Amino acid sequence: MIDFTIITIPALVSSLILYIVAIAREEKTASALEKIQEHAENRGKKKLEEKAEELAERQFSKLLKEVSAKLKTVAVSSVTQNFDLVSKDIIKEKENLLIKAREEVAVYKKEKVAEINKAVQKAVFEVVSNTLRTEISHEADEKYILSCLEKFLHEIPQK
Amino acid sequence: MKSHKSEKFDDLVLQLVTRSAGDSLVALFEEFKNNSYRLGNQVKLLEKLLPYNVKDSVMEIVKRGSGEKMTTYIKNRPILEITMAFAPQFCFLDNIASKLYKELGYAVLLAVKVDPELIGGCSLCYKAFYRDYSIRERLNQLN
Repeated sequence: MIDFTIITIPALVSSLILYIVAIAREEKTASALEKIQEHAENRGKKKLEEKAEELAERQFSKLLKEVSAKLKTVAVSSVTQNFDLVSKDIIKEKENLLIKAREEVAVYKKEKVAEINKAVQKAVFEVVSNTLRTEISHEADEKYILSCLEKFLHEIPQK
Repeated sequence: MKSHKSEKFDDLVLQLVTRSAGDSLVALFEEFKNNSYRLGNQVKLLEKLLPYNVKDSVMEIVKRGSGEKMTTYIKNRPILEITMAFAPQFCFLDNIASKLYKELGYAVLLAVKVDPELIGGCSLCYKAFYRDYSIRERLNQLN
């Protein structure tokens, strides 16, 4: 007869041990799993945070680019507009200056021509008067004066 | 119709011819009249001082007692201003004065000015009526 006790007890003990070991292992595994899980969670969180940060950064830089592009356009258009206005002013100013300069030149020309005419007249007058001074005799002048006197007496409104 | 006295005075004015001569005669007569109280032989002195061409006429007027009237008449004579290019001789001025007397019917004194710039001819002014008949003016008109 087989003594089952002999067989059962060690089996039981070993089974118990195994069971205990298994439990211990299980516990260990669980804590390890827990740890692993926690670690994974932490890592995942970090990565997510990193990703989010990266994403936010990307978004921000994109937005920044857009804004700066818009700003650039606005600035350029504003400068263009201002330039247009300024250039219009400059053109107007230039036209005014041209008109003024033309007027001044015309006046200067007129004055110069008048000056030259005056000088020519003066020179002619000088030559003619000098010639007449030497050519007109006192007798001729006296005769002329007497004829002038007659003319004058006829012109007087009331004698 | 001119009075006898006026005619006498006109003769004198015609002898004087110029305003300066008229002014001199009036000044001389005034001087003679003012100083007569301390001058002994004043009529002789006046005769001595008078220009030779009017001496006889003036003395006759003074002796007649019309000296005062004469100076008033001379002072009131109209003046014809005449500007010429050369200094005229007395006979030429006398000629002008006679012509004026003939035309106007009364004696006029001449205020003579000389301006060589006129070149020739003359400018005349009588009672604010002015005319320039000079050669200079003719030349200016040509310009």
